[in-house]
Amino acid sequence: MLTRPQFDRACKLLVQEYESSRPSFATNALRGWLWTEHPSVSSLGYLSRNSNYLSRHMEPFIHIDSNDNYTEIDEAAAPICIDTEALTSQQYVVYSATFQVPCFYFTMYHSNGAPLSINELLSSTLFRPGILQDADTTTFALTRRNTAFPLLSQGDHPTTGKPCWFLHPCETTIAVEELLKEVEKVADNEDAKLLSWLKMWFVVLGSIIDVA
Amino acid sequence: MSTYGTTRHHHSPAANFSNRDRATDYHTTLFRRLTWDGTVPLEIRVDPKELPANSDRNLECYFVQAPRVSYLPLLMPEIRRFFMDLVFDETAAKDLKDEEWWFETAEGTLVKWHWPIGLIYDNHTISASLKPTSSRSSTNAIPLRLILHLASPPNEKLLLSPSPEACKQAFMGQLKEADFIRWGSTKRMTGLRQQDQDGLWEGIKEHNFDDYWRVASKVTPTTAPTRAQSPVPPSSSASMVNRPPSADPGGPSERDGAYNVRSIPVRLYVPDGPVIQGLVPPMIDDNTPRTLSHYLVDHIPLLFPASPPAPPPSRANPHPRPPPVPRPAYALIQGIVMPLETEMAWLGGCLAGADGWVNVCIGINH
Repeated sequence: MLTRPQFDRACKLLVQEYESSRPSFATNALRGWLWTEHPSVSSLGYLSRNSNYLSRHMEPFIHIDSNDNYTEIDEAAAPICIDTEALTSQQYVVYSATFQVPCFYFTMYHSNGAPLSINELLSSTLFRPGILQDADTTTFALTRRNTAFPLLSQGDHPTTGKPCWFLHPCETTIAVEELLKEVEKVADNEDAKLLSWLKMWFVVLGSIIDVA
Repeated sequence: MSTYGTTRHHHSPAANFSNRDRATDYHTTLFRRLTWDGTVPLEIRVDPKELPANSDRNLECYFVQAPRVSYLPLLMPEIRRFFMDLVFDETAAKDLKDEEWWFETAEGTLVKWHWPIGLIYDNHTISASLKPTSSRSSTNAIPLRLILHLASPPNEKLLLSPSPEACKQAFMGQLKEADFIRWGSTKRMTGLRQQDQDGLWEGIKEHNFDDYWRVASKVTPTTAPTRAQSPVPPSSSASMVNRPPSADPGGPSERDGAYNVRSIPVRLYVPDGPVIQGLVPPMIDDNTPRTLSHYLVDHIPLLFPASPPAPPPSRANPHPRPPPVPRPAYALIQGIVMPLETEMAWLGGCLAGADGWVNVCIGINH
């Protein structure tokens, strides 16, 4: 759990640490974030950035004979993954006032500006494979079985009020704190601890989302 | 009327004190009933540019007195029936898809279908009161005029699909969040049988107070039985609600009581501003319940400045009082201008919406 001032501090430290660093694959997730605040109300700040992904369209493997005629679908062969379209995504790390942890919000659009449906989202390169396991989808949410909240659903961005998709944060604290136990102790100063907490949060997020 | 007790205990006059503990006391039930029964007038008309050919233009408006605790998607069946049966020409309307219908206010603001109707109305009333052309006069309820569009919902600005299923999920999510805010876990909500959880939504759909509260009383904190002494009379402000007797926080064990929660689920709506949500513990210290005044001074001090302390006593003025503070703003909850000495815990137990949240809308005095 983080208080709001701790969240604000951790985010600013993150932006600071990576704004002048050289790009590297390992730190992709942590770079390129911008800290924005609400114009008139304090303590509604959040991180944001834009990212690009691809739609993943799966085709069954189809045999084509020498006359260029389709013959049969080969069920035994693995489906071919055709990365077709470029998708743009606005990503946000906001503070969840209810659960008192960071929360990942995002939107995603086709190249023509149309928003994606939930199925298109789930089959894009934003999500790690296996996201659909043990889960039920509707047009408006993805829910893992036996959980209190949908994993993926829609909500208004807490600062801008814009409708976004978001990943439910309620399991995050447990996961982050478990992982922190396994990691070597950082120096005792508060700033280092906060930054470490936030980085660990990105690791947990990275198990669901490709935070490229 | 079976509304005063939980399902576990009968409320008989001879019941001993621990039974009365469990039964929801009269005042709490009264205010919950008043909240439940609150309605607001809506006036819905289809965008004239979108009316199908041959529509009966004499009947272009649908008027409804809608429950504050309900949701626009739940009103859709009756709205659709009215327009399809009475207004639209059958052939012209046969291709309309009601999952594409969406609402705008007459002023052009998108209406958030996942907000309770009472909240939409109160926010709109305040917005309208701030426009330069608005008149100060009317205390009568003015209908909220909505434009119904039949196609092309602006999906990037509105949550998708206002279906009853999506609405139900959003509603259940709010209840669970409220549970989490109060107790740090959603055990009370998730501990309900699926049938009971569904029963909450059924109670909203059918607008049945008993059905809803039969389940909700298991998870909503109560305020303790009232004290014997009479309450302080209400101030002379324009409040329309008598100040309720304050609950006794040191009273009989109220493990699940409104004054023992970690924080009260409250959100603050500032005109043309963001929604503000913070931690709201019920007590300032061991003996002082947090009031609406404390809450507002904490969160929006520019609109609710703290009272400066009273000057020290002098011979001329042995019992000084703090100087009066100008009050540029007021707090509207369930459509009522609330006295600032109202306790937050009491609001959480008695005047919350059906989704568990106390919505405080801030208006500005002229």
